Amino acid sequence: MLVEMIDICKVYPPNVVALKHVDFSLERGEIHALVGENGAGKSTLMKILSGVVKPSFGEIRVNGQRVQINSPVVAARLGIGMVHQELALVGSLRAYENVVLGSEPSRFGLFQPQKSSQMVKELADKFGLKIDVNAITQELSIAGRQKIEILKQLYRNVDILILDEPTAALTPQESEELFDEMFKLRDRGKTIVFVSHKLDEVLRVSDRITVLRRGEKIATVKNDGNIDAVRLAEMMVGKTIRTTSVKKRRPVGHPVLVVKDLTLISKTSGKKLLDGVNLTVHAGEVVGIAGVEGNGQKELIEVLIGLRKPTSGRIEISGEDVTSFGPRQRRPLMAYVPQDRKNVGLALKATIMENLIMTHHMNPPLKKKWLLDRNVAKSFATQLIRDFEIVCRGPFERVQNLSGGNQQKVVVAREVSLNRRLIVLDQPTRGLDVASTQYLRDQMIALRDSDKAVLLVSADLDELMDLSDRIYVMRSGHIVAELDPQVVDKTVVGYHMLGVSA
Amino acid sequence: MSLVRPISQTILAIAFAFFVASIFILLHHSSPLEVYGALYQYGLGSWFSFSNTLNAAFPLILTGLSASIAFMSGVVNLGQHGQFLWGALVCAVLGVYLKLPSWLGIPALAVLGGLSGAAWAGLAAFFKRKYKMDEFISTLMLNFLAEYMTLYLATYPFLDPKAYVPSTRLIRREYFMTNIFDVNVAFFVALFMVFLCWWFVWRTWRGYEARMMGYNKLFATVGGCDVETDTTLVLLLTGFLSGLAGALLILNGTQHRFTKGIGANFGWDGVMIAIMANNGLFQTLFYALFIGFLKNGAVGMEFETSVPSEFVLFLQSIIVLTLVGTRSGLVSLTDWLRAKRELGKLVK
Repeated sequence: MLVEMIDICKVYPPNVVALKHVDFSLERGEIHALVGENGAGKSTLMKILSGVVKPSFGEIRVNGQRVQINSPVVAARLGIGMVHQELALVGSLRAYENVVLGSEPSRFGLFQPQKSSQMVKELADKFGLKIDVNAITQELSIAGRQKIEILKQLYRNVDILILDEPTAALTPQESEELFDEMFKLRDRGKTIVFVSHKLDEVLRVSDRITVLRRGEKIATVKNDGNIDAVRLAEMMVGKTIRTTSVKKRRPVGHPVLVVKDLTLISKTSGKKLLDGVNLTVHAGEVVGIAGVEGNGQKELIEVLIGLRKPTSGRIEISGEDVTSFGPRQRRPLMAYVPQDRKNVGLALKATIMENLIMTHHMNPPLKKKWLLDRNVAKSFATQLIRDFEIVCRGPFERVQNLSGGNQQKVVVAREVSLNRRLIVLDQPTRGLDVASTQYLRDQMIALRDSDKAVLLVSADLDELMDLSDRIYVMRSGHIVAELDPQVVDKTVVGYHMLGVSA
Repeated sequence: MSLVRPISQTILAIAFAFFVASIFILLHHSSPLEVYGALYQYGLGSWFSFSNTLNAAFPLILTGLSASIAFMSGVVNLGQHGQFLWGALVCAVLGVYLKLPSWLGIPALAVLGGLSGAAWAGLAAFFKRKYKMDEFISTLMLNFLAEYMTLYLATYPFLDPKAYVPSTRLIRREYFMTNIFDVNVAFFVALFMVFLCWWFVWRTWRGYEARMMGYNKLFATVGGCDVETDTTLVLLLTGFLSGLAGALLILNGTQHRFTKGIGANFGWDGVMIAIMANNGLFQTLFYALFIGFLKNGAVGMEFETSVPSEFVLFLQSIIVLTLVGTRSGLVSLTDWLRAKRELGKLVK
């Protein structure tokens, strides 16, 4: 056994139990998938192995020797390296410079760029990673930058490579390439931990699979064809789940959101962030926006809510030209579920009630001339907590005490109850467990069925394919395609996202 | 239940501060018991001492309130000092030249003083709206301007030629505010302002928007709050409170005129009180009274013992440090203990 983690427990102060008596082991030359819902403890377990977090209890053995992994430096010395979900690279440096950064080859104290570049290139060739080592890092795609991180670990001679949700921001095609590279690494004797919750990918690449649920290890199984996605999902969630939403096509109504020739040019870089975007969302339909992250979706949302003014173009909501409006003036016309609920969607230190009455507070019955009616606010909040099944101790509890799923329910409850004709949802299910995700998907379908216009931005292609009536694909600030998910399949959407013809 | 923890933390922190300070008193070869005894005697011990403490506290209540409301709204108004000075100067000058019956003149002067403070803070609000200038810098810099501008006005155009230090003339007698049982009426005005501000912050929708803005400005903006107007309003309100403090010090203090160095530290003490109070309004009242007690008691301490009154400044600093330190220290300590207990349950 290369690595053994025995009886690991972790309690984050004050009382968050992240891991309960977890055993985990790695064999040389295997791809070991670690699956579980968000909050199951995958990241914590791997952070312990890579020295970022200290375990509260339990022991770790590497090659049979009991070890204390107190820091990532110690982990690296033991041959363990982790590629985190958020890549930490210097954008202005060249790829090879990022790889060697921290332990550069030098002569008489001088950095040797040629030699470094050569060494990194040889390393990449050896492990079959296709990358231009002289490229400027920030000009590379996310997949490219991920390769730099992997090379960085290989350069430091790690034997065990932990990849934390590496495919989260990749297109299907890029994921395939990554899997090929993982196989090549394995064939050259490296051990890979593949942290993911995409079960089809897990089944495709891994030799063994360990399932965590709520901090406990459910099982470690061999991926020998006797296990399938449904069984894995049941182990993850602990009950049988419905995976697809029931979808009925309905005739659409009149246009609610009309965007014409929307262009946004960055004032600092002069780059076109949005370039002549045209789109329409009708009443009674869900319109999806697909695209690799960083292709203008964020900017489109910011312009739609009124946080940024477009350089040119026009936005109409329910027939009203709102192009020059700020968020305050747009709110009577639209509901909005932001991607970043902790920093945009909620005030974590405020109470549930205070979070629920936001935006509602601009109108009666909550607003009474100068005052905010506390009694109305309380009954309103209590009602929403009941209707949306928010698990909490009451309207005066602080939102930060709630679980991620319940926090998102607070946001959704507030926005849905605004009862606007247009609702914009930006990655509403990101980071949520299966049950909460299902709940949110049902909510979106219910909104569509009550004749609302729903605009959904998501990085999860399956979700978009399941829910949308139409999909716009964004690339480099353009809408490059308008597709019907009933007609095309996922790979076609992926091709458009990448800009290669099918 | 939710009150027990903060109160016990406060008591613990203050006790710890006094303990630390007593070590320094011992190093000074004095007896801590004697020193603290004198502090108590002159700060709280009799009605005379107690009323003096209340009188020393009223400007602190107002400047503390000003800082607390600004900080809880995420508006970094650090200009209490300048706003205070303008309130005091305008009140002192108008108090000499304006001829009104006292029932009308006193409130009018107080309000005009407050409005001067608001106007001075309003400058920062204007810069923020027009030029996106950070109020943190502008209010801070405006303090220096206020200091020298008011000093100039008191030294040249409005100088009382009979005075030894630069100061304006005595305000008209009918504008002297009275005391009720030795307690300044200004103290009750300050108390009233605490309740008024509480009502604004917790009952009006503008107060709600201001608080949400303090928690998370982006959240408030996206939620449709009128953040620009809210920010302006908070600056004006907190400027008014500081200006009012200055005006009341002229009307109800001991000097009844604007002199060089008047209210030297009230502005910064207000900021300090807000920090100790964690921006809570009633906590602000408590800490303002507490600092008032220290300041007032310090006089007696100097009388009775060989410890100089400046020692109180030292004590104040220790209290602020230990209070803030104990607060977060206790939180992480209890968190750590809870984590231990949770782990204990897990591994038996």
